[in-house]
Amino acid sequence: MKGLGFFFLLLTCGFAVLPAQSPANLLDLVPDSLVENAHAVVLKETNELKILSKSRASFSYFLRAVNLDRQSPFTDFFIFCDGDVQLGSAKVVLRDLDGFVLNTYSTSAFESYPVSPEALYSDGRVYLLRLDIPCPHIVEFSYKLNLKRLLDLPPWKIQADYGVSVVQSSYRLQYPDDLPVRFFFQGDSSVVQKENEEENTFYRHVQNLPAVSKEPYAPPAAFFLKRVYFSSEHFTYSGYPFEMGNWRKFSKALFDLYRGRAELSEETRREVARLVASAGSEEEKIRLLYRYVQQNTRYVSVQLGIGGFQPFEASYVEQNKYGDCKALTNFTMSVLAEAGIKSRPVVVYHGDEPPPLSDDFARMAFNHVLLYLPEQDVWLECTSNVYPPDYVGQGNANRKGLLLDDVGGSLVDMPEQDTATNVLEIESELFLEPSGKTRIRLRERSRGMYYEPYAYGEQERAKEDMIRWFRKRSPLPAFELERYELEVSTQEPAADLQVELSVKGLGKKAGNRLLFPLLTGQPFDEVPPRLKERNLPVYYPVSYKKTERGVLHLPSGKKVESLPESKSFSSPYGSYRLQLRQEGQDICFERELLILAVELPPEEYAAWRSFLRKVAKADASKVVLLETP
Amino acid sequence: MILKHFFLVFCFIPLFLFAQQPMKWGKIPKGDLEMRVYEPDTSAGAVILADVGSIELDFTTGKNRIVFTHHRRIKILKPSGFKWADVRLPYRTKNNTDKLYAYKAQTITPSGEKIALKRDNFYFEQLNSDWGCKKFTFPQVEEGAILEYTYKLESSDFFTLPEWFFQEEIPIRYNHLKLVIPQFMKYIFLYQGSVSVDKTTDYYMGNLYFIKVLQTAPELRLAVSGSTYPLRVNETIFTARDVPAFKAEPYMTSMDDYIAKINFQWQAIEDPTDLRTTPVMQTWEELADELYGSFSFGLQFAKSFWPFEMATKLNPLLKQATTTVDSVLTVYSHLQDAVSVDRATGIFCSKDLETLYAKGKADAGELNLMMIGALRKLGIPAWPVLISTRSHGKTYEQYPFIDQFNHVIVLAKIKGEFTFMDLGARAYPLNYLPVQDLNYRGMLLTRSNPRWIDLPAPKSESIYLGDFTLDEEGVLHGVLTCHFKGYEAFRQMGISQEAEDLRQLWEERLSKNISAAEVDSVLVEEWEPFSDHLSVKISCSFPEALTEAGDLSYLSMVGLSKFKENPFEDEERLYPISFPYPFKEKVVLNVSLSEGAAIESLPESVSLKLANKAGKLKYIVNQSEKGVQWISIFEVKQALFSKEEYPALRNLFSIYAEKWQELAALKLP
Repeated sequence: MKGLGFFFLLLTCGFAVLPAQSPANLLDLVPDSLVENAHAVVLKETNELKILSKSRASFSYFLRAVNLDRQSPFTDFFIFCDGDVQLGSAKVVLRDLDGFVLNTYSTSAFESYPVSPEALYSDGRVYLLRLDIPCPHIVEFSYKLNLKRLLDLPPWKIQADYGVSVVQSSYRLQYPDDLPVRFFFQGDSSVVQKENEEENTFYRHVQNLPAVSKEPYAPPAAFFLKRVYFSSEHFTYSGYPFEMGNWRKFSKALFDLYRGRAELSEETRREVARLVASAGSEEEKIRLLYRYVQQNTRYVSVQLGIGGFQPFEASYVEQNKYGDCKALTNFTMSVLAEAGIKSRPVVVYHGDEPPPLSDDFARMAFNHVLLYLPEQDVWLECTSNVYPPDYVGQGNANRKGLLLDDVGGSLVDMPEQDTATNVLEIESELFLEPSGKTRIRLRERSRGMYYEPYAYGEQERAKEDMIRWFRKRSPLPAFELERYELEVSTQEPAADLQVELSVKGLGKKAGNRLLFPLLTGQPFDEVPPRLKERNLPVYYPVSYKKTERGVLHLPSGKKVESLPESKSFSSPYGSYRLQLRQEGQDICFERELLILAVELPPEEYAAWRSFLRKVAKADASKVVLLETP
Repeated sequence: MILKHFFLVFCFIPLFLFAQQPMKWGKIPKGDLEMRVYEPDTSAGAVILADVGSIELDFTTGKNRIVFTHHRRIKILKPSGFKWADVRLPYRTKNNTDKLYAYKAQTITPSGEKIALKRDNFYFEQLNSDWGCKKFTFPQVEEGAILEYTYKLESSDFFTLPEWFFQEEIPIRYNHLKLVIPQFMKYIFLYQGSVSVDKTTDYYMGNLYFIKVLQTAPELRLAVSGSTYPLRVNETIFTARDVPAFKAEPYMTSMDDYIAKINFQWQAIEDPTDLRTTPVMQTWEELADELYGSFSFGLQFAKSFWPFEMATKLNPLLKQATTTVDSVLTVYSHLQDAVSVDRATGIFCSKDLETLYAKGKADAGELNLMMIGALRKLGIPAWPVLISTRSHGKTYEQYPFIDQFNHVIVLAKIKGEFTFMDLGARAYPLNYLPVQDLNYRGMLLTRSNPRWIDLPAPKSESIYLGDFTLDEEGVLHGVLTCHFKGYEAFRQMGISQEAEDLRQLWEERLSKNISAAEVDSVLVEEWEPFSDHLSVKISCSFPEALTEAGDLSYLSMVGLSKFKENPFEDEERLYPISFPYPFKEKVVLNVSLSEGAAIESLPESVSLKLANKAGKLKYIVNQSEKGVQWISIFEVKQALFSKEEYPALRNLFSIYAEKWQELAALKLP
């Protein structure tokens, strides 16, 4: 609450010149409980979705909200469109708290930009209106969309984000008799009320929903806050029939988009035959064929209409040696099929925050596709030119995907990446010279997520960019790099980096003493903030293991005055071990750290933090060296 | 008669001197096809084998135009060079300013096979309302492949010809630009960079239409000759070879200010009939006159800007204003609140200012023109100042052309004081411009006497005053008072405004920068709109402030700094160093020790100055009555440093960073 007082102080600069607020403005009608913790209060929101036919729908949206401060999500207005989702009209009205109109912005005030300018082509465009005006004020935002596909119906985002409270919000969905729609509640559905629901209509509303304050390491808003998702049981899209009543049907429908796109040229077939002939085992076949695809293609994104969901034909990839995730997956599937190996696409949500999927509710919640070989239980990420077989990357791992198949597949678990996969092993040798300079020999063996930046670098970056990145992430002060040698394996998800460098003035000087750090690789320093109150669960999705082993060689002019204590501790969140010993002028050290992915109740935040803090403190241990005459 | 004379002089030389074509489409030397590494830079992922361009002012048809032809050939050497296969050709689509045509592209595989892109492999994308872009990517890209493409871009904007780069982010083996300009068209060449470029000139006679100046003021009016005449055409060829890749360094304004390139500005027309030269590039005075007479600029604000709606809102507020500065700030705030800024820069008005005001949406340039008009209405003298923002690049002070600017700001004389404003930045105090504006100089546009002026770059300060006690438990607790001034105050303000919870924000910042901290309270003082100060008082403790090892405990200086690590890692520097504004960091820290505590050792004090008082470091640690006192002052007093000054500057930063690492050793009871 200290923060809030401060904000009001700031805001006075803005609204000093707005028309004076009357003592009974619209905000006064809002219960205090809805203003608490809120950056914005939704006064009224209506969503109206009308399914018109098997392939058409219309959607109208209206929002009236009070922006209490600039952290409100309702100061930038985005509307995402593409070839099948077309903007009818859009409007923003700006009002003061008494409701007087300050300004009106029509469709033409929205600037339109490509959604993914990095793509070679995409029909996705975003209409954007940014308002830079002092708070508080009221905004009204409305728009209409014409939908030419029912594949991804607009969800009801009851709470758009953390810090948003809702006075009133509703969603009305009307559908013809023969085109039923299913829905799914995310979060506690008891707040949603059903009223006067007519036939073939979904009509619900919520009232007086307080804001949820954002907290660090909380679950992402998109799958923690209250939402309702809809999916149409069956429809047609670009002439293709879709069934979406359950995952199996949806899987089949998506797989149908891959049909008839597998034909390979004579030349490719010969090449496949040649490669397979030289392979001793099935495993080697897969390795060789995957390598063949990786060496002969690159990722280029083209998203147009149903092409956003349907792959280009295999011949397109042959001719261009490029393709997007679907095209490359389809091509690889064809290549494997040519060698008699069955594989199937698996669609997945790629990214840090995968939405949870329910077994009973099929919906379009994916943005990427990989390939799965069911008989060998092997995964292939076809957009990577570097990954070895069966490595999918942190951005695809630890979640569910949908296996596409002609008879219908189901939700499958993507590979796990845990403390056995994400491993960083560091070996170091430090030579402290009489001049005060430290020469360091570092060897970092990176696996799993630690290997990924190197894999990406192999594919995209010049060596000097990689060196710049190494400098940036290194905890060492400015150094001269004398050797940089990187080997990225093609056999396993592993990179081996060897560097030699020298640092002027490493350690902290205190008179004739020097507090010298031993861990020079990647010490742990991610301590979550101390909170006076924790209300949300803890969400930390990454597990890993880091070890560092090394020796510090001291010059004759330095002696050890004190050595940090060896220690070892563990918790449900991970474990830590540090061992040190002195052998003459050498100090040998060994540290092992395990951090586990966790989802914890709010009460456990403090214990989790305390463990991480202890780790950071131990990792910062320093040996005290004394100058001897 | 003069034409006849011309003809007599030149009829003995061949009419067309065919220059040897430097690169032929699809004709790849065997050596290039076989190349696997580019010897002068073996780390290069790709090399531009040749960049061949021509800019021709075509007066042969009467449809006078500029045709820019670009033919580029790239050798792909490593996967890191694959991104050069994705090509974007942006051009102005608004009012069909530019026309892109005759584009083609092909991949030549290492085996020599050629794969041409088809028409539908070229995509068009509208980037925003003014710009579009032709996009394509090459098929069959692999190590060893050669990619080539060419296109023509036509326009009729004779004032600014296409810009030509001699340098790229990958090496260029051969760079060749042919500039074909009739003798009667006079251009200035503006070259920058550190690449050596050869220039040769030649000429031939062409049958051309020519243009004549009918009038220059109030606007340029030209007439085209009725038929063609044999006229001299000058051909200038620029070549550069083995150009190294451009590499960015920290603290640069914009890569555009350093990379090797050339621009051409139209200066004059020579009438072939009487050889009289008429300038088309105006003088600064003429440019100012033209802008003042322009509907999209001067006419909008020159008299005043005071729409009715604004008057009704402002008049009562202005009555309460007691000083001129109050009145200025009242108008300033009103305009910022009434109009939402949709772009941070701009010079010309897209619509008349009253309409923009009523719509409540304008770019920052338009908002500044409103401010000028409003100030003039109040009887406060105010003028526009044209600037080029830091990312837009440097200005050419001797040449009066408008394209070098991208923004207009306000200079007002308030109670005899010259004061700058840019309403694009919310509630900044007078004379503080947003950082993007701080490009050192601007063109003060007065009707009679336009001139270059220095832009203010007030010093930014961060002062940390710490009063702490080290208790028996080894916990450091007390109060850290931060005084921020100028840009640092605005930055801190921004961070605070974004924060969910100030206490938590500061706890995180202190924990990250000093050591695990526990903040009890945060008090923000002294901030009012238009103030350049911000003070923050933090009651906090550092339970892990001490590093205990053996019998001793070690304590470091408590304070924040942006330079605990030296940002200048490279030993050598190719380009000047540009800080947007001068700055100072100061720490005064008193730590009281508990009874019985003894000081074992203290960091060494140091004092260091740069030449010409351009910067200094003063770092003093002393035993005080109750404990230890640190005083550290780090100051960079000038914004621009030459590369020759780099070693000294780097050393100053390096010692400052080292001092942050030093500890006091204490013996606690």
